[in-house]
Amino acid sequence: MQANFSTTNSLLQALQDAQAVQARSLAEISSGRRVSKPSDDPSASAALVRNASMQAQDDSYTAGDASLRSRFASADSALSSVVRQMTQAVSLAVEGANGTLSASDKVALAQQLSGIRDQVLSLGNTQFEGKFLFSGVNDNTAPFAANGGGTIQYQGAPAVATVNTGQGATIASGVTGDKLFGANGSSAFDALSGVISALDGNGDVAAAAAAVSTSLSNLSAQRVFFGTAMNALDGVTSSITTEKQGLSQQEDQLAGADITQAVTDLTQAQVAQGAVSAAFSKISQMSLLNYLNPPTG
Amino acid sequence: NQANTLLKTIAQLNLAAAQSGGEDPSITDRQDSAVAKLSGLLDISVIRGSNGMVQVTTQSGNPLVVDNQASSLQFQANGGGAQLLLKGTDVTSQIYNGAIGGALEARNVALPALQARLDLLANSLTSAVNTAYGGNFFVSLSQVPGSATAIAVAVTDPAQLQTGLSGAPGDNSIVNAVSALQSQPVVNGVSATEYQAQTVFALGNDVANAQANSDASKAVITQMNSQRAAISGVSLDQEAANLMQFQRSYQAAARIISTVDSMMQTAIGMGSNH
Repeated sequence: MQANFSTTNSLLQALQDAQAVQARSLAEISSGRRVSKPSDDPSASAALVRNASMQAQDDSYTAGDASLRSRFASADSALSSVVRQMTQAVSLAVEGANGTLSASDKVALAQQLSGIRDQVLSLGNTQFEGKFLFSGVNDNTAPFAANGGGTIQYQGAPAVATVNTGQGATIASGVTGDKLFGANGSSAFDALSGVISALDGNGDVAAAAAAVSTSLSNLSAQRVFFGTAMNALDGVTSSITTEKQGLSQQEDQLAGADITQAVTDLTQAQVAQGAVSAAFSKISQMSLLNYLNPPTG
Repeated sequence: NQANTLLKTIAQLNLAAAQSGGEDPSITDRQDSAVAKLSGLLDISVIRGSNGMVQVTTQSGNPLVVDNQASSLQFQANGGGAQLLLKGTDVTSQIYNGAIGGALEARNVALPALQARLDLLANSLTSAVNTAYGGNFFVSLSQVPGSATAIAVAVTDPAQLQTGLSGAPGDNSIVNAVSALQSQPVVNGVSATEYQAQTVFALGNDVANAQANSDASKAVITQMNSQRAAISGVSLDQEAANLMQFQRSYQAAARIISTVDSMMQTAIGMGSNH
């Protein structure tokens, strides 16, 4: 067995290994990613697929929830105006119930109330991004319109859509006009019309005023849905934001480069390469031949 | 093509070897080098004859180089699988190692398996969505193979999109049903995302394993080369020592010859001085 056999092969292999480590470390440092293809870390890659999917879902819910919240805010604002109008209507109606008013005073009140009824009709038909807010699922159709006889009726859908907010929760997308303003025949519009005709025709204004008041109470009670819904959405949005942060961190841990480790690996490989190269040049030169003097004689 | 070139090279070297009687070491070296390169491409069996010629066959005996005749390998790609033919015989199943073996396995086994998974995912997703949608949201795919390429959305006009069962513009019941699919088992009892994650893992694992095997093989080769070098390698020290020894012997012999020569000269000259 030869003692000083050629070590070229193993030295060459060591050089190539050192260079491979350097290449890998450089790639990791420059790209900032430890996992750039599945074989770099198969289970991390699989986890990244799941992570990406969940992040996409969260983004999608976040956008949907933001849009829904704007919708609720718009509805609430419209209803707030309705409440103001209706409060004034009650006050006018009560005034109208006062027996001491003259006929022309009553006509004047009736006209004001008519104006209020028109306002409330317009507010009831509020749109958000081109869709009617209080029509239920038939949001391309105005919820309230006057029929042939001039009576304002609800002609929207009986139900609203249910929306997935994420985090396993669902929420109704609003309240239908008939729940808010009252069913056809006993709605706020009917009550307002009632006061107007009572004032015009010497009817029982006091009773009509009471009907308007009842409508107002009902509206205020139903309106609470929107405030509650906005709070609920804020809660869900906050929860989703937290979850997304967690997912983002997880993604970093799974795929992000460990710069410290990569730099260490790179430095070590460079040192190793330098050492092997130096050893290579020394060893390959050394043999008895270097020490032989050319023979004399 | 590389393999075929090497086979021809070996055949030519065999011819040269036969002509030189099998004793020319430079030809032997070149034969060894060609055989080594060839074995990196596919699995072969090698027999060195006493006349200096190298016979090369596949592992199960199909002849590749006989004396100075080389056969050539043909590659045939047919849709489902690739074949390696030797003089018309299918030798694909005999080749599992080497670069050619690896390529064949990737082409015939690994890639089709991956493709099948993607096809299944595409097909299952399409039918699940179409069922939830209650119509053809995706173009309906009748068979699984080829689904991944064929997948296409059938509803391209947003106005035609059915969002709800009742048909009312604000009804989102169908949308909710389709959206719910993301957490439901849609492919092979798992959700679409999970199935994809499994595919990614399987691929990464296979590649990582192949890489590990490759690294291990390299380590073994390095070891074996060292061992071979230890047994048959040239030690410069040994040869230098031998060289010195023979040089001294030569000097000594030369010295003896010149001494004998001068003695003979003296002896011959003795006679002529009288």
